[in-house]
Amino acid sequence: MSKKNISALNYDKCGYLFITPFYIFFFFFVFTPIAINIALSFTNFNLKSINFVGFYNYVKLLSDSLFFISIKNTFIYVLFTVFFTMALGLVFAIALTNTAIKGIKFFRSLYYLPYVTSMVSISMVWLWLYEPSSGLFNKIISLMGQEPKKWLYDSTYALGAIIVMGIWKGMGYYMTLYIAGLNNIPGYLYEAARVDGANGFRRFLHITMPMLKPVTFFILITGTINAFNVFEQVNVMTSGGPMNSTTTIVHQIYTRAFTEYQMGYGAAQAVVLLLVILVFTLINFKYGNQGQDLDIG
Amino acid sequence: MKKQSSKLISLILAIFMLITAFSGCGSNTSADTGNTAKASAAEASGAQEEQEPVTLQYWYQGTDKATQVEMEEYVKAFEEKNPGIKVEATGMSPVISEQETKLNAAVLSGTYPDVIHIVLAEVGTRGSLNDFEPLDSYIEKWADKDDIFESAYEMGKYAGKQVAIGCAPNPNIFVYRKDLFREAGLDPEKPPKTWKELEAVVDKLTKKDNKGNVIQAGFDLPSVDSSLVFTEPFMRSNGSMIIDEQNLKPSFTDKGAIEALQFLGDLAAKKDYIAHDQQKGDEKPFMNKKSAIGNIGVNQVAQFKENNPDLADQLGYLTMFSNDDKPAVGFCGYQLYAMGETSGHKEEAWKLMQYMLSKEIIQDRSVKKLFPPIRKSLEEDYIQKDPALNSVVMEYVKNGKGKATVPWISVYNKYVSNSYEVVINQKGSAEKALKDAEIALLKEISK
Repeated sequence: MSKKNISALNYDKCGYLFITPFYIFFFFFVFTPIAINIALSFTNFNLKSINFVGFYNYVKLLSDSLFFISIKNTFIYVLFTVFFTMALGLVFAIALTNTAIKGIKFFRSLYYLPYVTSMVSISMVWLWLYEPSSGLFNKIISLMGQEPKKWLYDSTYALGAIIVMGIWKGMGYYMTLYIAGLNNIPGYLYEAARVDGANGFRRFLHITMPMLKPVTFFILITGTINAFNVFEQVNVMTSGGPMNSTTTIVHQIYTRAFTEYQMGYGAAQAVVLLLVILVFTLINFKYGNQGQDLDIG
Repeated sequence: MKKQSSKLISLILAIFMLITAFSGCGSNTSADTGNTAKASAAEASGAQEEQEPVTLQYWYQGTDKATQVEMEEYVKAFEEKNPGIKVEATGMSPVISEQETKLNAAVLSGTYPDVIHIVLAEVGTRGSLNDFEPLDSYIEKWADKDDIFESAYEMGKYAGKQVAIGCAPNPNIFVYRKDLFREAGLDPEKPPKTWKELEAVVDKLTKKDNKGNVIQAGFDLPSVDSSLVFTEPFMRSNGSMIIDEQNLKPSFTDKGAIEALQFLGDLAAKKDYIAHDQQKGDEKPFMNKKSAIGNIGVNQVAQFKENNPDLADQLGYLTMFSNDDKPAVGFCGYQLYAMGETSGHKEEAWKLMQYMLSKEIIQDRSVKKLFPPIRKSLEEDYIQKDPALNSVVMEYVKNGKGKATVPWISVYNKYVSNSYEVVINQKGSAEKALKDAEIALLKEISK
């Protein structure tokens, strides 16, 4: 082996040593729990006893109407939360990169604040806002001549109420990412477009949107994964009710595993969730990141 | 030279990162090893072990400041009386699902407490998992055993074994506001006693604004009753057994249960109530002075009086409403003490349990939290302190019923509370809702 090759090998070892801590953590805190969970899904573990039951838990899932309701609710939550959070995040990002607005930093911090506040605290605050007899939202709609709503106690509105809170909480984070993306777009692209006679909308459509594609792709992936894992707000605000209208996949996993001690069955539900997220992520990777290699040189 | 030194720095940095990553585990391991060594040494020398203080883990109900202070006082007094025992007291959320999460984590991590303060529903759910040490042999030798009400023992039995002892009956009683009765032109000394009378007064006690929105509810009818502590008394008072505990079978689709649930649905149809969750005590309209008749725990009565001293003498107390001539059965939950099956210090744990069930502590809790006493010798004194309230409370204790102690109580709660929501929201009849719940429950528990 030549001296050059040995040197390269040493350098490689050094690199591997640098990334080893991450993989150690990944192995113990991500990979191992996933592997244990998959193994548990083939058992009837109930905290005290454990027996191998093959695919029984997966077969049982097929006739579990509550699980199907939770899948439907989760998909609705993901669809609306991800779309509206991204859209509003972009709108606010564009508004808050306009240097003509005074107090930009203050507003950016203000919108980012809900994201760094704990979901449980936020949920408690929104419980008051949605309170049927004296909550702020009912006071506002009463002033508009509308009949007050039993927001979290009515199956028609409960999931929507949780979605709105989710959008409000996540919007500031997406806004921050979009602001970073917007600041990275070279100004000369807009100048060139102006010279060519492109109006604001066309500049947005043909410069801003394509240039933000990597950010949008990142937000889409992480946002979808986060939204699929919706749980805390459901647990605090509605416990999955009324009439299971807000129960989600993770809420079902929690209920089955931790209040009914069906750990094996809960693990099978978690495996399904893992697969659903995996499929969505792969689809996003396949179709979502096309055109990221824009040549702006 | 420059290249070589940068390589060396990289290597040192990488090794440093690895050492840092492992150092956390390393220190834990050494701590564990230390503990193991300590334990082995203690085992080897029995005499030395007796002299070393024993630390008990004690988990109690409640995370509020007042309970925390109260428990700290009890623990301090216990430690003074028992110098060889130290107690680490930890408050648990009163929400059962959150307690379950904590207890499950304790089971899996081998950190189950030595003494635990549980609620009635957990006698069945956790008793079936053999979480608790049977107490029969300890009670046999207990000098005070005859002073404890039989119900305190009965509530703590699972599958014939005494797995817990009741420390405080926890009834949910009906309370009304005399001032609001007077405002509505009703005689506050003649409150409703039957379902029909209740139905008649609710309308009169309800106040609505000009748009028809309820600003004062006549009666606290919850929109969500996930633990069914509000619903079950109506079913039982109409002759339903709800759950056949002897044969471990559901029994909530009989005429009594269906009629009771339909009665509540019909009451909801009048829209004379403010939506709330029965489990969220602070949200109850009665607690916020927005309702004339409420269904609250005795500790909430104390809280209401403390928050509204001007209304303390305006409170009236009701036994459970009866339907025709059937005997009324109110809800009487129980708080209990159990010993962790995995406890390594069972004798010391039993000492702590005896102390927490002692006359002085039971009396103190009945004064501070208004909990009815479980000791026969304290009953008369308790009633004399506030005859109007405490005689009603004792009525609930003697004739009431708490949650059934069956292993599948959480699954039952899930399906039957859903039936309740269906009926209250006028989305279906009580009969269909309860029968659907029974099918779903049987499907799960039969496997």
